[in-house]
Amino acid sequence: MVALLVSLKLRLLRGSLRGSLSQRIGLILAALGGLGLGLSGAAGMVALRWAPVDLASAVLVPAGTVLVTGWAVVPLLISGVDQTLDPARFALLPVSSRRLVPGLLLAGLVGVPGLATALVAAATVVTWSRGVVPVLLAIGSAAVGLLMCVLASRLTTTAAARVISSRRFRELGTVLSVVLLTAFALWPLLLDEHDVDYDQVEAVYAALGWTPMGLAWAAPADAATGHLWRGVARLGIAAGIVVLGALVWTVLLDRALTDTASGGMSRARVGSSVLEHLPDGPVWAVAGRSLRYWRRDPRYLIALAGIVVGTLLPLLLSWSTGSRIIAVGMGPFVGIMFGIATGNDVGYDGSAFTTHLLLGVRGKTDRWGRALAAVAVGLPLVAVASVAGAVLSGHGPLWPASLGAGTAGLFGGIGAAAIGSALLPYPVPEAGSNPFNGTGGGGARAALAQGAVFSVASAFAAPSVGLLIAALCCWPPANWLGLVLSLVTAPLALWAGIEIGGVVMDDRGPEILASVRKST
Amino acid sequence: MTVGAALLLTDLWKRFGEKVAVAGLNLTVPAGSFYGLLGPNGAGKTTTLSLATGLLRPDAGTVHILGHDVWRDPVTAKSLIGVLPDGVKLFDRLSGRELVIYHGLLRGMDRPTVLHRTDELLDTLGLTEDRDSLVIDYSAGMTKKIALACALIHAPKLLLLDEPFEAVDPVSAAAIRAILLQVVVGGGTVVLSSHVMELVERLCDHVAIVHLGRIVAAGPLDDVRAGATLEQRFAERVGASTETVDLEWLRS
Repeated sequence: MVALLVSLKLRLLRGSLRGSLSQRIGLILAALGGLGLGLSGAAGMVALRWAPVDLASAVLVPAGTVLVTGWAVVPLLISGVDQTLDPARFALLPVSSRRLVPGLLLAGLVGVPGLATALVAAATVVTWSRGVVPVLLAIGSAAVGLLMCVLASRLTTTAAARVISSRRFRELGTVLSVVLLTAFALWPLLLDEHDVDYDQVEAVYAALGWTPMGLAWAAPADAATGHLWRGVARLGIAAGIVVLGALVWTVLLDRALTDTASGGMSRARVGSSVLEHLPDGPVWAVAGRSLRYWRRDPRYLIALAGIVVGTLLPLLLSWSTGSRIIAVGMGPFVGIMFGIATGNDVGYDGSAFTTHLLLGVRGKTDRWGRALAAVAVGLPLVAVASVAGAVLSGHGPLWPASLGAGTAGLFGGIGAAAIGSALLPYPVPEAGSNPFNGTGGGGARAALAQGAVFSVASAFAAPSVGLLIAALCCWPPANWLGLVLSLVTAPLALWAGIEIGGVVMDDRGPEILASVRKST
Repeated sequence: MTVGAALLLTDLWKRFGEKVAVAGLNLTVPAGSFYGLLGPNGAGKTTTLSLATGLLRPDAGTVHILGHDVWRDPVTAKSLIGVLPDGVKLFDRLSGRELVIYHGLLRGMDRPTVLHRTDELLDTLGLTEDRDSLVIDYSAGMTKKIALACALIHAPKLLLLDEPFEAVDPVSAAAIRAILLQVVVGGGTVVLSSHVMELVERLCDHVAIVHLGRIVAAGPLDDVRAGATLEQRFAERVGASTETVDLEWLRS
């Protein structure tokens, strides 16, 4: 049974490589990235061989804890991460869970994350090659730690299988994981500011060493510092937890195999909203539909979160160096970024774009409707960012030029995206699927399209940004001139983009549909 | 050009890479007919319907809907048809009611008419109770029904339906049949694809059998049947053997 399940997993892995060439390249790149991460982690562990025991365990125990926690949590947050050997698929076969458990555990290790983790775990043996006893203990702890990883992921996914199968949880999880990951990326920046208190850090890792996630990884350090029995005890407890976990998992699996529940229907009450009172006509219909999607489709929310984080990150960076002037660029930056984000619109529709094609919706109608919704969401955001940017940079009176540059960026971006998304459409991952996955094959097109939209939008915003800079350095009249210029040129850019984009869309309807529906 | 043709496909070709999906297909659907499109899996039915409705650009050939060329005058042609496509997403983050209203407004209809028709359609199709749930949470059968409501909202002259009865429960199926018959009685034309022979025999007055991207038989139901059952004629035309292989071990 073990061999059967592992070979099934291998076959599935090979099958995923059978897509189109670009899809294969994407998968291989992702695999290389994962393995690279594993290798560099392993190299770090090897390097720790020459570090003092204190430092080695101060790094290794938290790292191990994060590793086990990651295995437990990531599959919960990001759906689509390895459901290949979903226990529910065995529900119709007459196999007992006891026979499935060892095979499913080992199969869970097959794949890039498993291989990378195994590399790191094996490298910890090198870290502790400071005598026979530590090595022996390190071998045991690597094995137990590795099993702990897989078991943790299987336990949480099985336990949560029923909850996770509901759409709402998955979508919430997607948004949460993006926020968490960006928070992680920001964390070191914040730490830099304050001096780290090493006593506290030491206390933290000492405590981690007694948690189920850290136990195994802390054992060899005990042996290296002469506390042999404490190390053996830690390893013993960790092994006991693994056995206990396996038993619990067997029970959970039993239940999952006999009762495969699926998500129910969630009722989304939609009361009367402002949207009910939009004027009649196709353009307003498209705008109303778009606005509902900005609120209901998590992918739009993720794009917004990305813009906010992408704006705040450089700001924090510059503040930590004591410079505030960069904040003055906030308005145009948010404007252009938001404009580019609207280029995903047709991709988000996916095969639902069929509706517009079947009904013979004119390209211009489609473009206007989406643009109106984008302006309704984006303009307040840009206004806030522009004024806040001017104030934060210490040049509050420059808000007119800042607002002008922001508006020029926004309208130029939406206009450019109206052409770009008709000329170079690309597929986007489905809502509720892993946002870090990308769609095989779409990546290169998306990069090209977004790069082009960015260039056009920037070129368009350049005069207004130029006036903002002029107002900042030497020429005061440029302040109000910037706002006036944008009030004229921004609507012009939007109009031109929509007209051109509309013609392109009328011309290429079926081709646009074919490129965005690849996302299945 | 035949003025009496609701749908006229002339020498249509479509290939995907090496595979020829539609190979010189000709089909005339008379106005006022209830037309059944049959064919084994992979015969090219869905591709044909996609070519006919402007979703897929043919490599060669023309499509006319009530005399209007779909590729020369798409806006007029598309305003005359209602389509139930198979295997594509709807704007499923709208509620069922919002989705039907969206289709009506996109067609340029005024809001009071749209609201009135939407509520009648939802009622007839048994969707009133779930009209405020998001379509993404609908079952397969409910999704079919809401898509049908969207195709009907503007009272089209020609309905093109890909597998309209798939996953639909018997009560709803009866309601859908009644609606489609009303369309035909009112002078409209219905074209549907299906795998259920009995259903096609009961509903349709004309049938066509698609095989390997061509029409291998077409005409009034009785002409195609020619004294036998539709299933027998179908099996003959697509070259399948009706003899069953004896799986002896299944009986043990």
